[in-house]
Amino acid sequence: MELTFDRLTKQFGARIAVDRVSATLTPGVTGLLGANGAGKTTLIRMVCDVLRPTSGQILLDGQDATQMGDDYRALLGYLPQDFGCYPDFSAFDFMRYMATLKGFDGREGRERSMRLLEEVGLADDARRRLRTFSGGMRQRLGIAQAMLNNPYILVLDEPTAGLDPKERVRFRNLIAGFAQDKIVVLSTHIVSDVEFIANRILVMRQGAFVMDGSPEQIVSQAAGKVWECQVEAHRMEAMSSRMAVANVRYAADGRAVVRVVADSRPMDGAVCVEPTLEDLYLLAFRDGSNL
Amino acid sequence: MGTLVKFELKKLLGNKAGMAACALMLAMLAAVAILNLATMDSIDLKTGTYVSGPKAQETHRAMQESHAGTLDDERIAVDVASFDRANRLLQEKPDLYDLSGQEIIKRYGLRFWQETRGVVEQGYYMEIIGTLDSANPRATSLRDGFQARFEGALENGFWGYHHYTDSEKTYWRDLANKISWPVQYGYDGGWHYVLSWRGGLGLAIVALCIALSGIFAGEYQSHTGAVVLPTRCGKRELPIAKALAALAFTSAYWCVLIVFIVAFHVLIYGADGWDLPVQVAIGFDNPYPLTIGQAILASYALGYLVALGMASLTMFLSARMRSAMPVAATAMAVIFLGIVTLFSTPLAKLALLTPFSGLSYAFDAMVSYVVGPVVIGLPTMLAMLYVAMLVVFVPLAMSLFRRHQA
Repeated sequence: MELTFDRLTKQFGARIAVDRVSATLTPGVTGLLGANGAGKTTLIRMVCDVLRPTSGQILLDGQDATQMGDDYRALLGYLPQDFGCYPDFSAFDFMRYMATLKGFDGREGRERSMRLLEEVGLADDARRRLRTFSGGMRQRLGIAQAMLNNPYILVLDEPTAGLDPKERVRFRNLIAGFAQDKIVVLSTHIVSDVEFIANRILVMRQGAFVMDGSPEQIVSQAAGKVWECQVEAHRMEAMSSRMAVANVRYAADGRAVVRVVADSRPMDGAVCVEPTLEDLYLLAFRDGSNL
Repeated sequence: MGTLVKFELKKLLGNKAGMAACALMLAMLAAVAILNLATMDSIDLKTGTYVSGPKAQETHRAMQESHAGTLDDERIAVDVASFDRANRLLQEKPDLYDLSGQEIIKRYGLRFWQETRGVVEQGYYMEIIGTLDSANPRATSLRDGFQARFEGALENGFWGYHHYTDSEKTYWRDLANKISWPVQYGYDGGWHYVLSWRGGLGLAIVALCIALSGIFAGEYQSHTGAVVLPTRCGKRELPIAKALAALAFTSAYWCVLIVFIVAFHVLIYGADGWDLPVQVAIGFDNPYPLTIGQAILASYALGYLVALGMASLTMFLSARMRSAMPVAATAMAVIFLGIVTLFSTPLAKLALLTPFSGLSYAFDAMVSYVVGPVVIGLPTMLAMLYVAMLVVFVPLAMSLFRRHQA
């Protein structure tokens, strides 16, 4: 199964939110990285058929998704960024409602609903009204509803927002297990969400893909551009304003150990270190980046 | 589909503002019925004293029942004789004009008061003699009196707002000619109030529109549109389920409303008078050849069509707008602007097509519309307009929701 974006464009008035992006996604987790306003959510909404492209096409195995209509949406699972639910529904009612919308009425819908609630750890709260749910619980419910129809294309927009560290790990494991033969698109600006589970990463900036590759390939683009150096603590502020500082920690002697992303050695004594995806992200989204 | 409709109904019932509006409407209905009874006053013919509350209701009932029967020429002659005698007796004593009922009783006795003021101040005599006096010289049959009053209304125009064309006059004459004479008179009790409540149905529709305002807009407002639309049934079955739920809610609400209105008034005032002619309840210038029961059925059925039409307009607005508040406000404006524009001559007939004004005057005032060679009465025009709204706005609302970009 292949999901292809063919010169996909979305324009809101004079502003181009997504600018002729093209890519072909295959089964596995594709991480869509980008800063807020990079065009990730707009792209995802087009993929999920809730926003019409201004031009370009989305093709599933060569077939136009728009033409496929209900058949295309039957293969989709979607967790939007602002996941809305009905406060007066119980979690179980909400899942049953979503199951009905996904074509699973009656017993099968109830069974699937309960199973998914168990998987996301909400089985004990199944009869509680959603108005009483915390942000994290709602987000887990959102993930559960997206997976109700065992979708071939699972699209998750900022899925870990509101989840605590334990829930994030649980979520990552859930997605990794699910993505065996499915296309999973995971949009986020939190690098660690995709660092461990993505097979491929697309980096978006100003409505276009600026990087595309496996995490290793992507990270390798930052090779030779990540530095670590020690400076006096009082020099930190001045340094932060001049350079892309990825991390600071203070050594026992009071000096600051600074991780800097820069095209060339930022100062004498700076040592080139192994880059991470977060470093690459900083490199891509620092002011004036040419990546 | 059935499950989806149930869920959509559940969402509608969860709309607190809408449910509060509907509950307030029913509470207001009950309050008005009770206040009507509590503030009612009447003169007790047996004692000549003013009575109020339930006692006044009993007196009013006894008074109407005392006139029950066929209003044929013989009966009318007797009534005219009583009325004229009462006036003659009053004119013989000019000092009576400044006296209250109690002072008359004190000075001339109860019997004198019963035969004079007790007659001329009765609603029954005022209506019947007033109708007969519409003819010059005074008519001797109620039918002739009605005819003169009716023709006077036709000449006078729609409250003086416009003049009837010849084809309109023919339309109304044909309708009035279908009234079968002589008519029956009697106590119309609860059904009188049930019929009067048709004007209040416009308010009931306001509550309905508030309840339905979030049917589509609620999904946009709460960001659930982006969750429900990209599903297998999200763009095909869901809009249909929403429309069906809205129409089912409208129907159920209408039934509850009717049960409330009928139950309150029939329990308080009794169930007599269903078969009496509508002229007994509305007046002997009403051209509709209906019984009170038929007028009630027709008014509430028409109200139901108007409610369905307004429900469909609300659905359309809800699918078009991004929040429920402006949807409810627009629907309310449509309903209430009709009352304001009713007093503007050029807009009066247009205003009568809005729910509140239309339902108040349907089966009452002689309002007609000339469309080419055809004359259409207000009730038919309202029915056609709101059925057309239903046919147009429901598919439009579904289509807008399907194409909504979340």
